[in-house]
Amino acid sequence: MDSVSDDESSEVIEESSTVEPTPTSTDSNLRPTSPRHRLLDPEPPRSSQEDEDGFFRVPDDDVVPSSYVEKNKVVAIEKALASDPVDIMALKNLAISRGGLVNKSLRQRVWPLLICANTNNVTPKPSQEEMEACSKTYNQVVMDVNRSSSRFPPGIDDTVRMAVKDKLVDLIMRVMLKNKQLKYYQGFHDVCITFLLCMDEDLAFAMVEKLAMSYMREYLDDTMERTSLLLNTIYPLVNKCNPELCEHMQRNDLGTIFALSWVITWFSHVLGDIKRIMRVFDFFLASHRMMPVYLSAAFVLYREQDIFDAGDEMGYIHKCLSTMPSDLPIEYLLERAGDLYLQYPPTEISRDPMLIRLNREVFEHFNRIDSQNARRLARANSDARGRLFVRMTMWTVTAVIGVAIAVLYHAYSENDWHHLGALSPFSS
Amino acid sequence: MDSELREIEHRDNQLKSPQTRAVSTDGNTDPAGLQNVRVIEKQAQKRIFKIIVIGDSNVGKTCLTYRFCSGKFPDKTEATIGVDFREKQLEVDGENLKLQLWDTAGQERFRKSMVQHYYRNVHAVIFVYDITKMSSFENMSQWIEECDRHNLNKNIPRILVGNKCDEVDKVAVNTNMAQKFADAHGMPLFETSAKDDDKANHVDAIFMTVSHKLKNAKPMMPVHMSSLSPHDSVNLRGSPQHRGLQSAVGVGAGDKSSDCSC
Repeated sequence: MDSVSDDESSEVIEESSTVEPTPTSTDSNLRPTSPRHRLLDPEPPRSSQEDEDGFFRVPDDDVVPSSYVEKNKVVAIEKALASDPVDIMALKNLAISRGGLVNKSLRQRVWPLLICANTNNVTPKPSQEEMEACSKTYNQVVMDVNRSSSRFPPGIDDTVRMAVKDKLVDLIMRVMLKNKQLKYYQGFHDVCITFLLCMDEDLAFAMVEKLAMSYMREYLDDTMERTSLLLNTIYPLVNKCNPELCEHMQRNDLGTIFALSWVITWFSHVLGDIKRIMRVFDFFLASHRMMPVYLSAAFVLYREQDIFDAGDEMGYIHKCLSTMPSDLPIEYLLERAGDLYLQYPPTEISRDPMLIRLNREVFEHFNRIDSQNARRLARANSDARGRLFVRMTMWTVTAVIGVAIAVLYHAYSENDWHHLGALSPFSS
Repeated sequence: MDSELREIEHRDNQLKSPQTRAVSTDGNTDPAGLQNVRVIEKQAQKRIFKIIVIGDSNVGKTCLTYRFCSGKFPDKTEATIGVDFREKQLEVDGENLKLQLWDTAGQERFRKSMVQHYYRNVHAVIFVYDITKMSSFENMSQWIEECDRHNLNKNIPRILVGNKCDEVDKVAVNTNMAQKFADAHGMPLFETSAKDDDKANHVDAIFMTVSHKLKNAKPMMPVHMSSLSPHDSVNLRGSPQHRGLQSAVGVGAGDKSSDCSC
């Protein structure tokens, strides 16, 4: 992969250390191109104020590391990358620790290493026809991509955003078509945007495909069963730290949907600011696959007071949790999530009686759905059988009548029914 | 306990002022009855009605609920993941009510597994389709079937909303067909646009009509909940679909229902 070669990336850093905005030169993604997906809505015209200089930069990225700590971090990351073999453990620690991987160019190099993404021999893009042939997924993807404008940094040029959206459809369809067992879900596009805003198409594909087959595999199942089980884990975690809060949430029948978008989009749907999202991605890519659940629990615990203040009203608690305060102390929350993970690792929490009880409900629900589906299928089959029976009967009756007519005709023409001769059309 | 008490209290109020029933059926407010109700009900707490909004992906569920709750069309919408909660307080015939709207994700996988959690304890269901997209209308029967399966009280008000009628040149679902479908399922039909500012009051009208039905129904007595009877239709004045909707007649039909809310 060209873009991860050391030479080019160090160039990127040098370039970025100039204060002048050097926006799109290193990002093939972030250049306007003519869209291929005709179903994508054209970007609406916007006021000239918003367009600014017509350039697009992901905030935070490619700027000079602001603090001494960040400078040190860059040096440490470069050192870990330069060691032979690459020091993955050191990179993981750097991704988890305060500030994460600092900037976009380092992320382009480190992220693939963290999850062992295969950046060589990247599968080529499928053709437009292939994508459109998979119509159900394709239409859903286009609908979601059309509505993804708010995920782009403010000030981005309309034509650039359109080009990225076009690539986003390609990226999602490339993953789905290569791995037909995966089922697209609304929210997967949020994950994909994050990678496209950070790296070129092929590298983003390598990352997303690897995630889809590992960290995010459950979310891409046919049903949400395994995702529901995963989300249930939030409750025992909250219960361990704050039983009163857990009781309050359960008493109000809150369920787990409030955390659905957090987990399945790795918080990219709700955090807004791309800088925060990338920081969270650093953390997840270097952590256990259940870490989004631990971070969700940390979020809930952090909002304790607001949740109690919402009172005994499920809607208000849901609303409170789904609104992200703008001053979220992300670093603190990541640290808290990490602590929760160490204190109650997945193997231990999976044996928690509360989780077992909650999971049983999920199993029962999905079994019920299965049996309903089975019943419906059986009904459809018996209907089909019924229709077949009717059809066979019709054929039989038709055949019998046909034979009867033939026999009658034969008999009629053989016998000398002269007395009917005048009336007969067959009389000669 | 509390809510039960309130309900009982409310029923008593209604017994004292039979005029309130008239409000729901002909949509005109009766000043005498209104005052009566106002005096007694001001003492009671706000009643809360929960409404679930369902339908295919991208039909405009979020825009409709957003338009109603915030009075404007959202600048940038995004796909709803899971469920969003919105609330609006309003005054219906002198009573302050709270409408809580559960705006759900349209993708099948979400509705099959998680949305059912929100079907519980709802007081009304709003089915939304996109009038420019036939498949979203065709899928309505599946949504209705699903709604029935979740042990919902069959008598709770349900309404059918065809959204995006600002896109006049892209209409794919003809009003007569939609009306027939709505009649067959005992729902009133609205065609509206969350986007078009001129039709914004139609969106209000939809929710206000539901509020009227809910307010005047007696929650403990399902018979009265079904005041939205088959062949019920609501006509939105000025909508391009005006003509088609007029064909159906029934209780609370016609212009009156939208009058009450505008």
